[in-house]
Amino acid sequence: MSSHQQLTAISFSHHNTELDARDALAFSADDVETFVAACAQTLGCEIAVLSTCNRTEFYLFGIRFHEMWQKLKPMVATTRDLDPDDLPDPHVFYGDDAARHLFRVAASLESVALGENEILGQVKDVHERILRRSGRTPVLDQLFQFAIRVGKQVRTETTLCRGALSVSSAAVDLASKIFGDFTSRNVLIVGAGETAETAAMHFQSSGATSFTVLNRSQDRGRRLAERFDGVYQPLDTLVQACEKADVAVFATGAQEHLLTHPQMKRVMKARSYRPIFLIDISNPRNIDPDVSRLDSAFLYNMDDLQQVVEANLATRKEQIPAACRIIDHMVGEWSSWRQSMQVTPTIASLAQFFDQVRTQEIARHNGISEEKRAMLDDFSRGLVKKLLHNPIMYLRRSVDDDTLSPEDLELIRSLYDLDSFQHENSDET
Amino acid sequence: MMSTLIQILEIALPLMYGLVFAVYVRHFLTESGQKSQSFVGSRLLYGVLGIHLSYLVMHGVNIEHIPVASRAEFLSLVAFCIALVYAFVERSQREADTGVFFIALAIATQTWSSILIKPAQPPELLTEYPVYGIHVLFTVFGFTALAVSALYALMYILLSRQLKSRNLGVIFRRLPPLSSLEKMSRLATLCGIIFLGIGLATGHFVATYALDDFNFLDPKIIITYVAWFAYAVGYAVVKIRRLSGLRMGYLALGAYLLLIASMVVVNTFLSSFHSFQ
Repeated sequence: MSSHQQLTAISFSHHNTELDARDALAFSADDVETFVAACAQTLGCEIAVLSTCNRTEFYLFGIRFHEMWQKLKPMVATTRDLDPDDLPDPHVFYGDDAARHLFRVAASLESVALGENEILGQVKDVHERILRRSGRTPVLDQLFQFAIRVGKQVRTETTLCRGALSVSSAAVDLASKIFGDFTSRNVLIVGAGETAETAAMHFQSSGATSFTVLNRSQDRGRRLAERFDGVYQPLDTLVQACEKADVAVFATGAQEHLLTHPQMKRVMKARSYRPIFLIDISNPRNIDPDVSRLDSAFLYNMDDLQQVVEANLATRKEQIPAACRIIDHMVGEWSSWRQSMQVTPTIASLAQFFDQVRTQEIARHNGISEEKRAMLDDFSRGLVKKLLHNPIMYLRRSVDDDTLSPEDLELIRSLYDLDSFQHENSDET
Repeated sequence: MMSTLIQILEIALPLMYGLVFAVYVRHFLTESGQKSQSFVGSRLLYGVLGIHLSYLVMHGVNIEHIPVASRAEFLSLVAFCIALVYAFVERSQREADTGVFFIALAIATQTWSSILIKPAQPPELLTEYPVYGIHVLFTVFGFTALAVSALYALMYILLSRQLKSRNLGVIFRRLPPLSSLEKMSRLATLCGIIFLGIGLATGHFVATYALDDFNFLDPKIIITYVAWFAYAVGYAVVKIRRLSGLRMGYLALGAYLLLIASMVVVNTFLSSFHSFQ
């Protein structure tokens, strides 16, 4: 691993690419395999592809090219069957900036929905593909391990990924704060439109199994009820249905209040004041706002839920600096690892070079006794060790102090022509 | 040897509860999605409860009666009861988010006990009739369990009010769901009714057979009987009619506050017995 190798990230995402172009650039699992094999052969570098619904990114480690994207462009176009001239301009990051970009992606700071959790799973998938690959990709393997660590750390040490970001999931969060889990709870859905269906889906995915659907149109109501293994009831049974429900979602196009304060008062009495969570996501509202004055009737309308979502988003945004600190720290660790990886081969070459010189010099003295040869061997070993001590210590200290510059490394390698030495040795082996 | 161990435990118990408290605080501050499934604090609490029980038994053996004679002994018993009732409720609901409040109370009472501890002359009744000690023991358990129930009711009310006001703050984020708080409050109430019932029965037994001129119309006795009866009837009604919600929270909290207020009034102005030195 020499110092003229570097990490490059080429990114197409919602920041710089239109939706159509992102769709066109989306790589399937098969595309990734073909593309990676072709790139590894042509460019001779390590490569990984992260392709999600909002981004397609290429991470490359290998010989530094000034125009990496120009070299990659035809291969991307061929894989996705596109005209190279139609491809948009990507964001390109080099070195630590490339690593930082991936860490930000894993932390979901670059996601459309700040703090979403799916992206970490996608980064893990890329890492698994790297591990499955037959060719060696040690640097990208390490890079993605760092990225996964960042993702996990951000999720455990900050609240960046906490709190619902959609109205339906906010409703589920609130309901779970009243009832715990939904396994034995009755969910009443009033309305059979798309909004009602989305809300029902959220409750179903959170463990709800008992659904009752009320709707004016019997056909649509029955269809929705069947979808969730629930029962359909006509809309005029609303009061009785509310008596049995724990959660009631109202999402109809009705222009008047379907549930009034006096009705709800009777409902609460009939249900012995058991708590009920009423979600009114209709416009105009279907539930009389005065209902919220009743004990144990928790009424949230669209505006209330929107406020919860906004508060959650604001809380997530407050966590960005904390997430950035974690990323900065990890970029530092990554950089140290990279430098230590750069310095280790140099130290090994240096030691090999000196040892070779030493053994060659001893070999020149053929006529001496075994005893003297052993003495010379001991002496030369000690001398080489002492001569190398300071340069090696300097290199290691520089890595630890984070002060090692590529120029220092180049100088040492040039002084002893280590690149040629390494090349000759590898030819011999 | 045993005395030395007892003295060591008198100092160590507040520290042990402190350690448990620290673990529960950490758990309380951890976001709900990141909490460990097997919470170490619970096991630590069981361990400390075992040590505390051993201390109470050793102390009882050492002084040759149930350790409820002095204020310090009484406070140590209260600390034990709080932690025990809480541990039982936590175990039954698998919900450790409220532990921080109860362990804090246990630390406070045990520390107070450890500070006050000194040899005390036990009342004759306690040495002559061990049943009297059992009466005190169960009565303390009963009142403590009802206090735990009232605290859960308070938490229910606070969370409920936050949900109603749509002002979702720390309480919303940290406390368990309303349904869990309600179940925990009810379980503690049931414990209170059972323990207090046994305490009253044993007290009645001691009064009938050991005391010649016992006044069953003592205001404290009447209040305790009325409170126990009210709790028992209230619990049965709530259970049978499946009553639930905020009103039940107010009822549980109000009943306990009323009970304590009555006791304070009676202790201050009327009662001449049942006091701890």
